[in-house]
Amino acid sequence: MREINRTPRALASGRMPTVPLGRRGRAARRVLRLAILALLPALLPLGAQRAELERSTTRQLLPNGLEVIVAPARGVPLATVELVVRNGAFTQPPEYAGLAHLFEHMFFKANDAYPEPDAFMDRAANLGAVFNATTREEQVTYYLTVVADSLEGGMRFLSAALRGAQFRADELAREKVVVLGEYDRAESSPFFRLDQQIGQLLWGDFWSRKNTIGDRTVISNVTPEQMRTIRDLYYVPNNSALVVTGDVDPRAVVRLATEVFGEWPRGADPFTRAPVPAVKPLARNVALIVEEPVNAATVQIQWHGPGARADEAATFAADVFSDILNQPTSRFQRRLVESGLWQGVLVNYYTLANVGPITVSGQTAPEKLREALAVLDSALAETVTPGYFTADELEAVKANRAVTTAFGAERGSENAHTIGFWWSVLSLDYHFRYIDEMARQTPAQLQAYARTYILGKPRVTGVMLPTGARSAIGLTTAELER
Amino acid sequence: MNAHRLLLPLVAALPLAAQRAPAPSAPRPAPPSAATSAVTSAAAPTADTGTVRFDVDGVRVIHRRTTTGLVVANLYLLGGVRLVTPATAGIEPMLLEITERGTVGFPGDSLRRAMARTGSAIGVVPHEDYTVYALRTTRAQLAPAWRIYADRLLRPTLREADVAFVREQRVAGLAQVADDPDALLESLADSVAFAGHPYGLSPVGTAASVARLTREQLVAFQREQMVRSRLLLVVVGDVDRATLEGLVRRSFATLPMGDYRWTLPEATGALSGSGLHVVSQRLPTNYILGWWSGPPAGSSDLPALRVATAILSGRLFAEVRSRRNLTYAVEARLRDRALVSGGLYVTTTRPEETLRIMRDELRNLQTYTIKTEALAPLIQQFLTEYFLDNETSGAQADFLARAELYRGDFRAGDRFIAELQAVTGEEVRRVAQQWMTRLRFTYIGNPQQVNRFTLLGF
Repeated sequence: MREINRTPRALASGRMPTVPLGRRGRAARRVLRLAILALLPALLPLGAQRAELERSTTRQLLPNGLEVIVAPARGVPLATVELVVRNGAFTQPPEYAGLAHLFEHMFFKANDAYPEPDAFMDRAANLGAVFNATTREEQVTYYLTVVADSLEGGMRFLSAALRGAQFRADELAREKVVVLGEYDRAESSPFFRLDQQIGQLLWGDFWSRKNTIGDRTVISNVTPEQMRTIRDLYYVPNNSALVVTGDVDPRAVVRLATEVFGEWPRGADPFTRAPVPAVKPLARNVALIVEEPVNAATVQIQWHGPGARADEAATFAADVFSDILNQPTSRFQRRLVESGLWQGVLVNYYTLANVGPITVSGQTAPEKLREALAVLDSALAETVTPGYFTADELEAVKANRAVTTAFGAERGSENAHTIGFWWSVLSLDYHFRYIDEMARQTPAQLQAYARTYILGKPRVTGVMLPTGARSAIGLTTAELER
Repeated sequence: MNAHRLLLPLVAALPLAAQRAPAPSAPRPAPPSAATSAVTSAAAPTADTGTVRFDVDGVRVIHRRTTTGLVVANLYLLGGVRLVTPATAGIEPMLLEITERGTVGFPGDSLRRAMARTGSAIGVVPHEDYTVYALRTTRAQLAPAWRIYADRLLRPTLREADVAFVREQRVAGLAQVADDPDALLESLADSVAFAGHPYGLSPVGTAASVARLTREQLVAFQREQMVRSRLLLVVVGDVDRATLEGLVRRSFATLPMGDYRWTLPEATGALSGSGLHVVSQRLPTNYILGWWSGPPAGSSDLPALRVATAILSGRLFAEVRSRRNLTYAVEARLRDRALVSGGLYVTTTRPEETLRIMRDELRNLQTYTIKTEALAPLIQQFLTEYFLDNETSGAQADFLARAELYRGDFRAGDRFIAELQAVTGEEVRRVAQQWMTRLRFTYIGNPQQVNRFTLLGF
């Protein structure tokens, strides 16, 4: 899984930028959440995880505002370099919907140092680089992995793309067709189509700032000037971080980063120049029903969850709450899945600075749908009853997290992505504290989270049914909105 | 859920190779200072001296000792799709899933509760050549986790209600493969490309085959197929040999010996069916996947095939995506299985034009010889990927197993980079010409947009 796609070999040319989408996107978020656990040596006592992370991570703020973060890992002789920029969907007004992602595609095109595409790819090949990029809601990342002794070449390669991008009209015209091809693939999935429709209802006017893949019309009419606007606004060192992980010497990395990126000129604060508006609360329950040529009824219910900046504490409770409900032996799963009502049910919170969604999704047979939904509501309501969360459950989740953490730590190349994610969404400090805070959660905190964000709160309910099933079961949006 | 996720790296490692990683404890050169080095060549992996193979009362074990505090145990139940028929496809993964719901030693839900207390995970990964039954645990939890791991294989209760529950869940899941065009394409493509060969069967089965599996069949499969001669256990972890031998002796070594014998499968020979399957669906784009069938995994052509596939994939990306903008996704693939195979994948709104270009690129590879020195950068990238694919204990266990099964010796992976470096341009041309032929395609989308003879012309 690599959820973040591996690059095709550069000799042969290239990369396959990724946008997490729909179900795959949710899966990516879940994996990312697990990957968080990948950063620490496992089985440390409560409170020790933060200290260990702080000890093993080097941070240096360069005079131009670029934060350099180095997290050595000695498993294999590789180094991963990741440039993280606080860009992504959240910076997109409607007329820019999808252009953060298109910009990401243009990053690896002609630049001043490598004016011809083949020369650029040849350089990547000579480095033995495996490279790629991703666009998410609140960050864009560019990263490459090389054998450790090619680190300097890798950094200069990234710098050349960052500093000298040309945004040639001919290349942009070609690349937007590729991005539209990515859109075509996404739209071929009924789950993506459902996800998009629910997203529009959930976020309203904010939709362009959550919709990473964006709008076809906007992408089709993109101009080089819009690319330059994005670069000038967001691609400044004081809105970026350079994360280096792997078999590296932190002091040498900081010296090299200063040499390669130190001349990158500081810019104005992008969020002063282009403030991000607040997400408007959802006013009431909303529902939609779609029919597709599918073999099961899919339900996706979403709420506005905590924004990590506004209610950081709730984000920890959200993750433990989800972990416990997703345990196969939990009371929640026994009522819903073991009973045979649902084929599966998953609870998720996706941490974002600007309001993260809470999602409960599952699949069932159309003829069971009404009863399945009723029991789901009852099972969620039950989570705030006294004694619902047991000490055994909290301990089991903690034990699982300890083992998962230890196994995640084996994958050094993923650390750069995890660090970059948390740096951009909130802060490195949040990342350092995550494991310890998760371990401190109490049943009362989990129930407070459920009361504050889920129970009785406005939500969007999306139901996808096999063709013809809606009339067969007589389902209406009105009953889903009650 | 967690087990599945932990096991994903095994799947992700498939395209690269069945090769070994350097033993974590093995010495290797210290990296030069990052700030002072711009060297772009790296040493190949050092020889593996920390891994041993031994036998515990008829159970074959490969053991790599680490000091990470973690333990990965992959039990390879050999045979895969060669053990089943179209009517019983999917029986082994289903059986192993049911065992999570109770054993003699851990009845009912007590098993999952006991497992949860260890924080460990047991996963099942179906594969055409074997089923991997995998444990991920820590040194501290190894003993209690192993008791559950072993009891599930040795003494499952297989209650009728549990069989019915898992069967219903799996049938529902398999039916939903058709809901996503990419999943459907992958599912159909093997049955088309390998029609009449065991690889034409899905290791997870089909909704139809799983729906008919009975408790009696599962009990019989458990009794007849869980035998020592079918097992290869690979352990990469922080456990000493004596402890490991004790665990194996008290568990898997108590199974009947059986008379299973692992062999590489027959070449495909004459396949049945037309070699083309078209599914008409109204979609925004068309999904296309075709496979060729190659030599057995022990073939000396494999390194050259690996290089040829990488070159072709790059050329397709450059020509079809970068220059012609006909797609977002195009690639050439190589699958490391006991019988090697490879293929071409693309999604496009202009299939006729795209396929013609892909065919031309393939023919160029088969016709013109690349200078051997031009292959060097590619080998450098293989080295990076090799290390990436060996970051985890699970991936290392899988590499060891593949080398052992496909090449007869877990140490064969030591030669991975050296073998790639020895590939010549002429070999690339020859293996492309010899093996990358007679592709059998599956097409999902608008049939009006493509000429059948184009798809049959590879």
